[in-house]
Amino acid sequence: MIVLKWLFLTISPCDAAEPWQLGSQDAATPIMQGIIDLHHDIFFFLILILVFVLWILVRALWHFHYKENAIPQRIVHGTTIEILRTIFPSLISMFIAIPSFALLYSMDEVVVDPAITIKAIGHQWYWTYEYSDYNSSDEQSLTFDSYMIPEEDLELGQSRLLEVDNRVVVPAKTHLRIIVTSADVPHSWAVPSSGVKCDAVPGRLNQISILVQREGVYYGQCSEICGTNHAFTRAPGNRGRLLSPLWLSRTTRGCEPPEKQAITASGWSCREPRSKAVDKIEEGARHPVEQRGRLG
Amino acid sequence: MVKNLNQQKQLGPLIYGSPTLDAAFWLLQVVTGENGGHLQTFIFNRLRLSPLSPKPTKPSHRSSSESAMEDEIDLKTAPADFRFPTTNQTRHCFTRYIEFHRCTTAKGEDSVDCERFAKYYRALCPGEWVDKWNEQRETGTFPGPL
Repeated sequence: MIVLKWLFLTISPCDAAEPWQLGSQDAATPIMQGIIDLHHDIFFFLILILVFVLWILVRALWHFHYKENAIPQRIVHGTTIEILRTIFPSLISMFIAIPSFALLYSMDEVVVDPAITIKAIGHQWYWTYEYSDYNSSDEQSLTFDSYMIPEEDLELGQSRLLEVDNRVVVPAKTHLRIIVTSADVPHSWAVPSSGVKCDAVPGRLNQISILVQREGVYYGQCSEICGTNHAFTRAPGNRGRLLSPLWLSRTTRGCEPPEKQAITASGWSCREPRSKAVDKIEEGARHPVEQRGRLG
Repeated sequence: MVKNLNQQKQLGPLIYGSPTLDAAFWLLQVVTGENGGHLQTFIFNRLRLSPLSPKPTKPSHRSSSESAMEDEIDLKTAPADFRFPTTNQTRHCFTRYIEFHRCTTAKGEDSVDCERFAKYYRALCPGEWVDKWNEQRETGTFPGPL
């Protein structure tokens, strides 16, 4: 009994591609959850139509055999069936379209101003991330490059072609704005478990809004052909480590180990080195508060 | 049908005869906040206190000023601008940059009012673009209406 309980408590979400994976990765944002739900809605009608069409097809073929049915009928039209076969597909299309448009338009709605802006700039063949919300001049933004870790440098347990040296650290349960662009050729920033894919076009800034609902490490890959090492550019340079809501004040500070359940569910642990992104942003966010303290 | 409607419990709007569907509609209304988002607020607040986030430490090893400062940290960035509602934010970044420089020409280089625009364009525009535009302004080749 205790053994069973322990087994069920260690849930690790699927946030990276698994071998032979058939379905989606686990959703980390409301958008991805909406996409998965829409997929389930449409799949229901898909199976309905598939079974119906296959049944009619097989039945027609079976009964068209010269031994089964020597004299085939010569029907050319039937008003009732023609009306029905027009109405039912339109109804089905409507049932598919309603949740689809609902999701599509809700993705574009900006309900809340974002709390933080992160820029992802694609290069051949790595990503640069800029956190510039706390600059006091044009020079000081926190910028770092994120290269994929080559296979020979991987440690035990790391994913091939998915790990990077510097992960993007973002706060969880916070509205984010990610601005995606490129410095040379088109790339695309994609994180499947967050339901994000956005083209990085040189000379253009594309904005995506995300709200990541749980902590964890999320992986993605570059999704626009960009040269010989396109397969080796980690999209979000693996968007890593989304931290708890008040991440600036608490996260890895005293490095308090949360309860066991939290570690396995959230993927956060004291064993991970504290990211310098968190340091810099904490420092940057604290600066105006200190100033206010000094002045006021 | 009418008899059925009269007999069931009034849980919500009388759209359908079945009480289960009524309850579902009522719950939907409450959660989406159309009937006053009390439950929504409650759930949202509970999410913030989710057990998945690390528990707050006892403030024994922190000075009082530090913990006071922590409560004041808030994350702010360039707000969503209704002039640029679409995915393409190139003009947004460019417009904020121009607004900042127009503000400094109008109000002087060190005006505090222009600091807001500076934060906005720095948040939105990649550093390389800002550097390039600064150089262009210095050489007089900046293509915008400064």
